[in-house]
Amino acid sequence: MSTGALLFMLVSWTFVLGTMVWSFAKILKSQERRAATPDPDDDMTAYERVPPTA
Amino acid sequence: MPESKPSAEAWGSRIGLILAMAGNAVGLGNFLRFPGQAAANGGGSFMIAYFISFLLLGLPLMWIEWGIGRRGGRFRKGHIPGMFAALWKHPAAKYLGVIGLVIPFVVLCYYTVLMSWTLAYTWFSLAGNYWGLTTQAEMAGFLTSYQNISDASAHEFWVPFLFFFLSIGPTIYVLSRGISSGIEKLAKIGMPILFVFAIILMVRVLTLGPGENGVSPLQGLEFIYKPDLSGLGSAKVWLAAAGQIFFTLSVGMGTLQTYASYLSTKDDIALSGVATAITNETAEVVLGGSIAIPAAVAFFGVSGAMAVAQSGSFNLGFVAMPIVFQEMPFGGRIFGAMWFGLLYFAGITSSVAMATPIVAFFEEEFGIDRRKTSWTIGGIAVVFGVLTMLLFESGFLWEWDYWAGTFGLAVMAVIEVILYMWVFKPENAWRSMHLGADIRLPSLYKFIMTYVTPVFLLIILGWWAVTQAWPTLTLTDCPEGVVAGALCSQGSVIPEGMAVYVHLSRLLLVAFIAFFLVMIRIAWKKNGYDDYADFIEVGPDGPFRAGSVTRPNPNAPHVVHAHDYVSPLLPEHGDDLPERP
Repeated sequence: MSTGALLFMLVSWTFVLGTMVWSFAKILKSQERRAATPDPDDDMTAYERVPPTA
Repeated sequence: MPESKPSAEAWGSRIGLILAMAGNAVGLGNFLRFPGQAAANGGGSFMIAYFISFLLLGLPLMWIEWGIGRRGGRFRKGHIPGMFAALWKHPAAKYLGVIGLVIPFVVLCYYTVLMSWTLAYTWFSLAGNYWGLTTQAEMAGFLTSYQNISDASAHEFWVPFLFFFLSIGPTIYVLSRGISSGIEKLAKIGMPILFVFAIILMVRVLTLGPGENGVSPLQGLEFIYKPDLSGLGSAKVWLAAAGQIFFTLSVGMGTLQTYASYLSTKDDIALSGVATAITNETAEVVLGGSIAIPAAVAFFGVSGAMAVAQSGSFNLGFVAMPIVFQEMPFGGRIFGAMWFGLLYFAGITSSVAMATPIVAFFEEEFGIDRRKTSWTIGGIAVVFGVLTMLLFESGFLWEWDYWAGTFGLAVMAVIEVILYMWVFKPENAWRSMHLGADIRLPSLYKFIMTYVTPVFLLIILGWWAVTQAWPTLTLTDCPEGVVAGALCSQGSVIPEGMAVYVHLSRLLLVAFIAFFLVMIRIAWKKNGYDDYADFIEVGPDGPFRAGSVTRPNPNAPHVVHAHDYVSPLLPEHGDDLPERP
């Protein structure tokens, strides 16, 4: 395999795999945060929670 | 305006939702179409155009569809006619949405047939049915005999029907179980199996030694990833790459929107959209690109593998790969079963998704129980699936695949982008996407979604209309060297006397459109919807007034009329929220 092809493959795979790891890590972190600080209006929708003056 | 029939459906977990969304997107195309397209369009040039298309077309469409879906869900509209009507207060909106019912239904009818091929070949691999057929001509004959019911040279006529019923049965069962206990569970089981099978196959293929012609499988990767800028000036390469991105993410089908409709405004869609798209890309680029082409290159040489890939994706998967498995030093049958097994899992998670918009339509608008709707739709899909099998030789299936599964998707995508980004307005769309979001999308994407994506889509649609749709419609899309006057479709000659079935397939498409148009009209009349008013927004326990502090009593009868609905927060027509402070 030529160096150019290997580099292009590495860049492509790094982009795809890196974005996947980043997105799932962020999702898991967000889940932890949401679990740690439960929304008092959790059973209500965001639509109701935002004050009219926001 | 009276509310729709409530639905208690919801996703059990966020990971489950993303796996289900990714399962919907990951299909046969990731492992069959992608490597074929990459090989047929110059490898490196194609990959560069592919990644640019992903950023300009794929990701924006993913966010737009999630946004449309979740907004529809606020009014308990899990189907495209309702979602379009929620975006555009015009009587035509709901009828435009017919495309979001016809496409998934038609694709479901024939996709389950394609899926049954993978199940059959999983068994054939384990049982060694094709062992000994080591040339492409022999394997092609084996496949043709399976596809054409009248050709009993390698298979009894009942074998394809058996695998079809074995294949569609689980699809309907999962669908009837609902979102959380059916679709989500399937995704949580099916997707990991798919990835494990794909990783094992990838490792096996890449560790194969050089074949008889001395070519290593790494030469296949070399072909795909060789940086080559020469093809970037070719419109064909760009359109092939954009088309692949379009198909692989399952946009334009109406299924992503239905899945997203079960989310609330406190749920994130921005980050989840990225996670879904990139999971699909991992399955496609990292795994899909590292199995079929490298294996074919090792056994047939670079030029041989390119010839196979250019002859069609199914030839790569069903003709070339079985030969490769037979040549493997050990475990060929197991690896063969894994290959077709992973295609089956990729197929079933997609086929289940295809039926959900139709189930949602009948469940929400007519109050028909999900189980009944699922089995009824499944039964109808069986009837038309059997018809496509009986008439396969005529090109009946490929006709549906072209009009519903190819051209129709682009039409649908153009309509939804225009409705969401232009009619609903970019500001509202942008705000809507950021409700409950875990990340903030780069502002540049607002411009891309408003201008670049629709223009890109219109170019693709226009190109296809001229180069493919018109010749296909007039049956003049013939391969080179065919005698004048022959009737052809999508590069294949239609056998004599079979053109009538091609016309029948088109007639049925028109009939499906007419049927769903009538059903939409009946639903709107029955439920008393006003085309110029908002639907009633639905909270966890029923409809509520925007800005209210307490939710309405869920046990109280909800007779809320459109003119009672006043939103103190929002612009006229109760559009989305202002950004959170």
